[in-house]
Amino acid sequence: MSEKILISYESISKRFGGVQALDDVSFYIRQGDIHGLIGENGAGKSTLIKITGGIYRRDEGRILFDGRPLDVHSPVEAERHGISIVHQEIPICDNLTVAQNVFLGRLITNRFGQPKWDEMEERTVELFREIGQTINPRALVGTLSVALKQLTTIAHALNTKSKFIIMDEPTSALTPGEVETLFEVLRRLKSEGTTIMIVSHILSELMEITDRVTVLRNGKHVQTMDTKDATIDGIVHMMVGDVPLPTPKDSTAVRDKVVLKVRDLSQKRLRLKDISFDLHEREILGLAGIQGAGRTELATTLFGVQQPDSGSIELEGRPITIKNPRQAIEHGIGYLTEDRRSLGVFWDMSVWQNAGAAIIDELTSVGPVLDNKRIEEMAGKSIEELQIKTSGPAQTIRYLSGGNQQKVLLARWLNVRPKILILDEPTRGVDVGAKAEIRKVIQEMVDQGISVIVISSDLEELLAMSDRVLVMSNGSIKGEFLAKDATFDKIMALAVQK
Amino acid sequence: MKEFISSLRLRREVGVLAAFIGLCLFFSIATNTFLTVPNILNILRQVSITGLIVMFMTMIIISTDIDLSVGSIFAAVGMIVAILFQNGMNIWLASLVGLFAGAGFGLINGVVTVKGGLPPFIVTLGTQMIYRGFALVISGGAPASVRLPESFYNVTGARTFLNLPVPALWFVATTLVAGFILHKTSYGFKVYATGGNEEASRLSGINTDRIRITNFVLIGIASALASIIQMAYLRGVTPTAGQGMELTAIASTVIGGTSMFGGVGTIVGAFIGTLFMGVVRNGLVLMGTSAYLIELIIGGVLIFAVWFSTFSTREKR
Repeated sequence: MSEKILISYESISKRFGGVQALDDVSFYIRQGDIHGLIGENGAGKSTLIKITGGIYRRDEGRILFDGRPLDVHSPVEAERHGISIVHQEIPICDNLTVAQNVFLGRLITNRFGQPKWDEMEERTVELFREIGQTINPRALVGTLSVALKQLTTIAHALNTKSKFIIMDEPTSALTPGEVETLFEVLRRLKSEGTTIMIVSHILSELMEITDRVTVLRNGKHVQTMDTKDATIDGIVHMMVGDVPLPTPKDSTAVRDKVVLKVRDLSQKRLRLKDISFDLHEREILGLAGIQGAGRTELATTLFGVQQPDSGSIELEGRPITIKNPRQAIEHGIGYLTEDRRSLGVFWDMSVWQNAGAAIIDELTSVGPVLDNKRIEEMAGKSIEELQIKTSGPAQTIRYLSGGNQQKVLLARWLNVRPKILILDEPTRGVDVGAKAEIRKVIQEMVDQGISVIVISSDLEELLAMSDRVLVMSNGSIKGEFLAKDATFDKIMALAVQK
Repeated sequence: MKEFISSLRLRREVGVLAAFIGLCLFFSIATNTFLTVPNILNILRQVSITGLIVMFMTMIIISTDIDLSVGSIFAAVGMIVAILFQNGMNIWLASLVGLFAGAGFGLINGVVTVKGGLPPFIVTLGTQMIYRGFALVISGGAPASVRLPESFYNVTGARTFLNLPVPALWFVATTLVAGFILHKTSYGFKVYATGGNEEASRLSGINTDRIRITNFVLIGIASALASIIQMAYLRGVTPTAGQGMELTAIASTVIGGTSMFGGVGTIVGAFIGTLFMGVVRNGLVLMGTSAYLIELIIGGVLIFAVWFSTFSTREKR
């Protein structure tokens, strides 16, 4: 580990309207290090990355890169300096092959300008070999797993001879095995002298992979330290300040009152097979399973996004059919999507518009005429109850942090006054502080009489939240535990069954 | 809070407005006839027919659709009303039939596009030809002139009412109605939601299919209304009327700050955009520019205006 500094941030500040996204942030990253960047949503991590990558301009301060002041105005320019960003959403062309993606923007051509695919494909295989992977360079990227797509962007970064690779939440969509592979790749890159900054909410992973970590809170630099001197508890404390973490809950479920009764539900295209379960009143029912187990598919089927081929659904003792989400909402069922970015948020619309989208027909006075008083009431209540950090109900949701966007979407579903809420990864991509707040909100929902189905890939959280846990694998339910009796081992054993 | 909402909505329009005022200043200085009451009324009258359609083109583009068949609906409805009237039907009734026909043409566009899952660009390109063909077939290709009763003429095509041209009044009234629908009702909300994120809208229980189809019906009715007013004003119709109208309407919409990607746009912007197109044409004519050159200049102005409005309102990064 050399003491040479690759990049050093000096008093970086950035404002967006009334929000101070970064406030006098200074720290440096050593050459050849894997450096963790940690902070709650809204702490300023994304802003810092975007400033480094030339997507935003800083208001104040300077960046020294390789000893020289860095002043980039676009991602292309950043790339020319040797800075690559692997984003959360991977900007990749699904309709092109791996090799075409790796060489996107820097095709090797002959003197007539024709691309030399053979050479590029060979080079792609080599790049993947450098990171210890094998790949078919002619495979269409659209057919690859998320993990391989990510490796494709890493290969693209290597191909541009990047000295500094920034990875934004690289593991959020990966399975544990894939995370291990990614970390091997990162270690290999590090051994070849590449410097990496990695942003993640999963602290245990950062403890494993990084050399040093920097913690940001509310746009300010809290501390940069050697990872070996840090503890998870210590970091969490730096991230959130003094917020007590919730203690395990007492069950509130009313056992003899079944709200939702699902029997033998099957959907061939989605590979759902013979699903039967009961949801009790004021219960939090967890759905555990690995990616692809069919949890989201079950949730969207219950919400009417697609129709089951067979089976029955009973709501409070009455058999119902749900043809579309509107009918589900009319029956008092809400569904918080796992894919906030593309299926949840209306990006160009305001906080109130996002919070009121599912009850817009109720926010009217005469006929379809919108009633400003009701809108203000609804918005005020949502912002207050969920403690949404926003400059006001008219602020465009785009400018909120991920955690606050998620709270707005929760507000959307609370506003329909549901009997049943299905929450699909409610705390995904959300930091420790917001996670605790969202969990508190969910408990409050239950106290108000709502029954909840929760899907979460964070098993620890699922067990802490739920009364009861169903384990899904391969499109069917493999087992059931009371949360207090469940262990990771028992659940994982069922989750990996075929 | 209300003021803040409208200030956000209008941010994109500020650039267009600035360009529009600059343009008006230029023509006011360059000619001594531009800034006169008769000329301003004349501009309003000139843009009114297309302007009726622009309001609903804006709505349809906000929900990420498009309608290229408006000019043909315009011609077909005109012929239907004129032929019914010539065959003895009461003009009020004939106009009502015309409005229903416009709604029907729009319904066909909407249902085929939405339920068929086809691109609206292709569907309405097809119906543009079909409706035009329909107008030509029922008219035998010949224009028709109509002698309308005073009572009807006075409220539709009259050159003056309280010294104002009646078509311009219709245009202003339609603008207000469209503005109300888009900005003050749950329907308008759903139009923005559908255009902003159709999948999220559906998951929020919004019947996006119905919204999109209704938008097609509304623009069909607006095209029919425009056609009836034009017929009254000109006292006649031709089956070739309204060619290229869709492009003028789309240009006005886009100049007004509506995004072709959907989800963004306002009626205020559409109104300014409509006037903008009218002022450019009118001002150039007053300056004695050759008719051939005018087309060329307007094309350039379109691109420049859109560049200017996006440039001046682009988010600071």
